[in-house]
Amino acid sequence: MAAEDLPSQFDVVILGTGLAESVIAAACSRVGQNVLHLDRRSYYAGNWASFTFNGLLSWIEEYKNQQEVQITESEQVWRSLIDEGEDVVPLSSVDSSISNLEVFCYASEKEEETKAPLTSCQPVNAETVSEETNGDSAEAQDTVTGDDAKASDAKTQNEEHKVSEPKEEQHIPDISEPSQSQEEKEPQPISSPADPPVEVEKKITYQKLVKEGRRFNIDLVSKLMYSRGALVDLLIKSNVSRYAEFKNISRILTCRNGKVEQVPCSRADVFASKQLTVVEKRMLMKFLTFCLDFEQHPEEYQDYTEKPFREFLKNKKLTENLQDFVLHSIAMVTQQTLMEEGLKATQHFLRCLGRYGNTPFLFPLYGLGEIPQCFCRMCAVFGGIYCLRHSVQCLVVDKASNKVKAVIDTRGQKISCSHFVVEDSFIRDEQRQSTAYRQISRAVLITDRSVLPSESDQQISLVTIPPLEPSAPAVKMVELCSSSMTCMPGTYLVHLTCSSSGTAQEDLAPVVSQLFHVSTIPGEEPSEGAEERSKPAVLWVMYFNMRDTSALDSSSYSLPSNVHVCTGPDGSLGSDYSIKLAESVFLHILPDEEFCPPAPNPEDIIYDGDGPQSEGPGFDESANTEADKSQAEEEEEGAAHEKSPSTESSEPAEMDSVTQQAPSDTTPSSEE
Amino acid sequence: MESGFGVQRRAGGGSPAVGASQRRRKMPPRAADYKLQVIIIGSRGVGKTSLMERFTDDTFCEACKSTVGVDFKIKTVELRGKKIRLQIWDTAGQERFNSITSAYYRGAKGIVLVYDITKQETFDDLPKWMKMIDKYASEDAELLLVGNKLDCESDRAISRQQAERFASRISGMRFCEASAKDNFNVDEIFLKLVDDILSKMPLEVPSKDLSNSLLSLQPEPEIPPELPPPRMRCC
Repeated sequence: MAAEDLPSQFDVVILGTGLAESVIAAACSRVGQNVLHLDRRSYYAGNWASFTFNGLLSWIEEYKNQQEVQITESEQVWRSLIDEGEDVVPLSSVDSSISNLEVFCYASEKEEETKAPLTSCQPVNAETVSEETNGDSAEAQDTVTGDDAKASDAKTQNEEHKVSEPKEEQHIPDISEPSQSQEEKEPQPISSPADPPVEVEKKITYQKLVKEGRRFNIDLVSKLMYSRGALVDLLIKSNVSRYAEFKNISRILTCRNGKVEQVPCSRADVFASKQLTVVEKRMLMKFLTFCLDFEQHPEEYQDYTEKPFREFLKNKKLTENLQDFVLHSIAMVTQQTLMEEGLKATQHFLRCLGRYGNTPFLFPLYGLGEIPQCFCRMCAVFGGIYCLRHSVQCLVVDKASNKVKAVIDTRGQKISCSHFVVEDSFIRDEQRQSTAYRQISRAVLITDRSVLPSESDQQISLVTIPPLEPSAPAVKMVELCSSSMTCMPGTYLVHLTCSSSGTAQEDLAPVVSQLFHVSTIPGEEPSEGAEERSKPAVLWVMYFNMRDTSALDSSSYSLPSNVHVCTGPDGSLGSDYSIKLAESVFLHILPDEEFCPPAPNPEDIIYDGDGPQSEGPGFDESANTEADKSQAEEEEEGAAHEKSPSTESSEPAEMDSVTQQAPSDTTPSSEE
Repeated sequence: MESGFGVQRRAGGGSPAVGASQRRRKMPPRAADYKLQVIIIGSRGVGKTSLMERFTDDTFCEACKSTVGVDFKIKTVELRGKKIRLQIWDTAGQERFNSITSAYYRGAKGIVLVYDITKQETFDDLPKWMKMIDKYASEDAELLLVGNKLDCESDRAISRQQAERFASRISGMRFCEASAKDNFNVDEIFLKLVDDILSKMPLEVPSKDLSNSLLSLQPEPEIPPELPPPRMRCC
C-alpha cells in the first residue's frame, strides 16, 4: 500500500484503544472533533483485547520480549521540530501492566489417534495413552509455543498433515469413534459391549487447540455486561450496539461446600430452589423485595449506614447460608463493603434481571475485545483516523501555558492537538506521583466440560466463589460455551478473576484445583475416583496479573492539564467505571457537548405499500440516515437519499417496542 | 450485526414483547425473509464506497474522496422468491492506515474484495486482505473479488487473467470486473453474491441451536422478574 501521509493537525489525539479511550474517541468524533486514534499494538483494545489461541501465544511471546525502545535515531530530526518555548515530555514504550505470566499445558501433546487401539475411553485406556505420552512430552510446564513447537515439531507436522486431509470425517481404523468432532457426547458403538455406557470423548490435543486456534477469542479482561449498566445503556444510546451481538449469561452458579450449585435469581428460581429451606425462601424473597426499592424504607437500614453490609444482613436475620449467598452471589461485594454500597449492588442485580433474560448479564459474541472496536468504528464513521502500530514518543508542551500543544509520533512527525488522551501504561514513572498499584489476578482456562453439566452444553455461566479462606478474595469465574464464539466446539473457555493478594497463580490455582481436574501428566485421564473424574479437565491454563490503575486519578500524575489519562480495566464485574471515566474525560474536553448522542432521525421512515421497511426501530436505521445526512451535507446529495426508501429501512428486531431509543430527540413511535 | 436469523426470530416471537410491539406498528409490508450482512474491503481509493452506493442508491460521485459518515447501507432485493434485506457495510476509512478492526469481519455472510484494475498496488494488496479474512471472517462467508474501474480500460494495469488466477486459488471465490461509474456489472455482482449465499443457506432455519440466541440490544420492554422464566431452565 502506498505510504499514507498523516495530517499534522487534530483536535484530539488519543493513544491506546482500550474501552475508555475508544468511547472518548467515538464521543469526540461524534460531535465533530477531528480525532487521531493511535495504538502501539498491531491489534485493538490493548488490555481489553481478545485473541485467537495463536494470537494469545504471540501476545505471551511479546510480553516476554518487551524492551524499552530507545528514543529513535531520528531524534535529531524531530528535535529540530521543538521550538524555543516548548518542552518535551517523553512517553513510555514499554507496557508494564502485565506481570507474573505463567502457562501450563495439560493437553496431550502427542497425536492420539494412531496410538493404543481405543476400544473404550475409560481409565484403562487413559493409562495406556498417558504411558505413551509420558515418555516424551513435557511435564506441565510454563513454557510458550516456542518450546512446545520445538519439542513436538515432527509430531506437529505429522498431526497437521494427517488432520488436514479429509476434514471432519476422518476415519481412523483402530478407533471406534468415527469423527474428529469434539462435541460428541453420545455413546459410540463400542467394541466391548460389557463396557459401561460412558461418554466417549476424543481427547483434545494441544495440536488440536493450535489448529482450531482461530475459533478461540480469549479476553484479557473478564467482565460481564449488566443489562442496565452504564455500558449497555451507552451502547444503546449511541447506536454502537448494532456493531455487535450479544448472548445472555444463562445461569449463575456458586460453589458451596465444594459443590457447584445454581443460584436462584428470580422469584421463580427462589421458589423452585432445592438448596433453600422453605423458611429461607420466604426470608430471601422478603429481603430481596426490600432491596429492590430499599430507599423507600429508610427505617429498615438507617441504623446501619456506617456498618458493613455483612453485619446488616446478619441483623436482618438471614441465615448464614443466605448471608453468604447475598454477599457473594448477588451483591458480589466484600466482607468490608459498607451497607449502602451492598444494598445498591443488590438492587442493581435485581433490577437487571429480566431485561434480556433470566440473569442480569449479557456477553458479547466473540468476546469483550469487540466492544472497544465497536466504539472505534463509530469514531471512524464520523471521521476519526485510525493508526495501529503507531505510537507517540513524546509530548510537546508549551512552556508558557504548560499545556500540550503537539505530540511527536513514532515516525518523528509533529502532530498538533488541543487535547491528548492516553492510556496509563504509556506514562513513565517520572510523571507519576505514586507507583503503588492494585493488581488483578487472572486465569484463563480451556476445559473440556462444564463445571455443572446440564441438558444444554451451550450455557454461559457466572460462578461466584466465596473466599476459600477468610483473608482470601472472592473469585469470579465465567464459563463460556462455544456458541459465544470464544472457544472451539467441545471446549469451554473459563475466565477467573479476583483482586490480587499474591501472584495470579497463587491466588487462583487453589480454586482451579477445587473445580477442575488438573492432571500432573499432560494428557492423563483422571483416575483417582469418580468425583475427580466428573470434574472438567483443564487442557491449558494461563495465569497473569494485570495492573489495576482504576484508583488513580489526575492527581496521581504530574502532567499538563490537557492530558487526560485513562486507567485500564478495573477489577469489578461490570464496566461502569470505564464508561464513567470516559464521560468525565469527554466533559473535561468538551463541557458543552452531549456525550454520545443518538443519531437523530431527520426523516421518518417512509412507509409505502411495497417498501421493505417494517420491522423495527433502528439503530442502524437512524444511524444510516445520519450517515446519509452527514454525507449529504458534504456532497449535497440529500435528495438522492430521500428518494430511495430502501436505504432508510430499519433493522427488524424481535423484541422491540420503543422505536427510537433516543430518549428525547425523536418522536417515539414515528417510524412505526 | 444480525445475520440471517430473521425468519426464525419472527416465527419464534412468543414473548409478550413482540406482541406489544406489533400492536404499535402500522400495518407492515411483507417483511424480509432474510437479513444478510455483506462487507466490502480493499485498499483505499479502489471504489468500495462507489460500488456500494451505485448498488444501493444508484448514484456515483466522482469528487468524493473520502468516506466519512457512511456506516452501512441497506437494499432489499428479491431472489429465488425470497425478499432479502441486504446490509452492506463500509470500512469507514479504517483501511487507510491498515487499521480495520477484526470486529468488522464478524457476521459477514458475504465479502466483496475490491481492487482497482488501473492500480497494481491495490492488486498486490489482496493477499493481505485474504489474511485478515482467513483470520477473522466466518469460514462460510462467500467471497467475491471485484476489479473496479472498468471504465478506465485504457489505464488497465491488471489483466483479467491475472485476477482470475488469483481467485481460482481461493476456494469458492468468484471474480468479475465492474464499473461503479458506468454502472456496469454492479447489480450483477451483488445479486450473484446474494444468490451464492442463499444457495448455501438451509431452507429451514435451524431452530434448536439458536434458542439461547443472539441478542441485539434493542430497548426491551422489561419482563418483570416475577414472570416465569421464558426459556426452559436446566437442572
